[in-house]
Amino acid sequence: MVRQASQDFLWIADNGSKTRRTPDGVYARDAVPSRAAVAMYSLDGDEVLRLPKPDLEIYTTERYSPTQVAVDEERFGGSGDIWVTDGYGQMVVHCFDRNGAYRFTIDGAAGAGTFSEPHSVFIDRRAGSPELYVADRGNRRIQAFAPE
Amino acid sequence: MAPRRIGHGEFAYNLDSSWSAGALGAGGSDGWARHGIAVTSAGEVVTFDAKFSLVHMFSLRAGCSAAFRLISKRDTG
Repeated sequence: MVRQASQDFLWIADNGSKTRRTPDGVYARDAVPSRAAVAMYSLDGDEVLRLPKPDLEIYTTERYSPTQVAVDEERFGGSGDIWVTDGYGQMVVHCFDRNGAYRFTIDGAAGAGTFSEPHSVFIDRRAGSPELYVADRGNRRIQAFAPE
Repeated sequence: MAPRRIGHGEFAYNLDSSWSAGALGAGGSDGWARHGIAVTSAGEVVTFDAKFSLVHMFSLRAGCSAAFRLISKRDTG
């Protein structure tokens, strides 16, 4: 949830996995194509902004499956950058600018090590300067970065 | 089931495990379906059911106040 010009907006990261649990407890992936997407909606359900899938070579053959989104909100002095975890896809975190244009990708190697299923992302401003937290689920750790 | 008290001191709350559960439909039976939850500035609780691409909005007093499906999304996979 973000707030711009006195209005709430809802960011949703849809990983595109429409799995169904079968009666025997197995999670089966649907046969329909992946509909992974990250978008911002008004609380009336209108789509306001949609992020493109990053134009990276890996996505020509491999899956894009975003699991979480966080915004460095300008109302708190942030840049407006939008961070997206491809937690079920390529195990990376993408950064987009405030208008939704792709900027760059991090894979954790510059921090404690390459991400494994980076499921969630959060921006913490309690320390004065913002810190980007990545829930590095597969490695059972949280990595913290300076988001600039 | 009657609400029970959880937490301590300033962070003590009443837990009502059945609150608004009826509004969640089939996806409510699968905890993995609801990856996201947020709270609006007006105090409404918003959930996203990834399985059915369905957003629910709840007010604390009235339960489920709105629901919409993300029908406008395009296939970017």
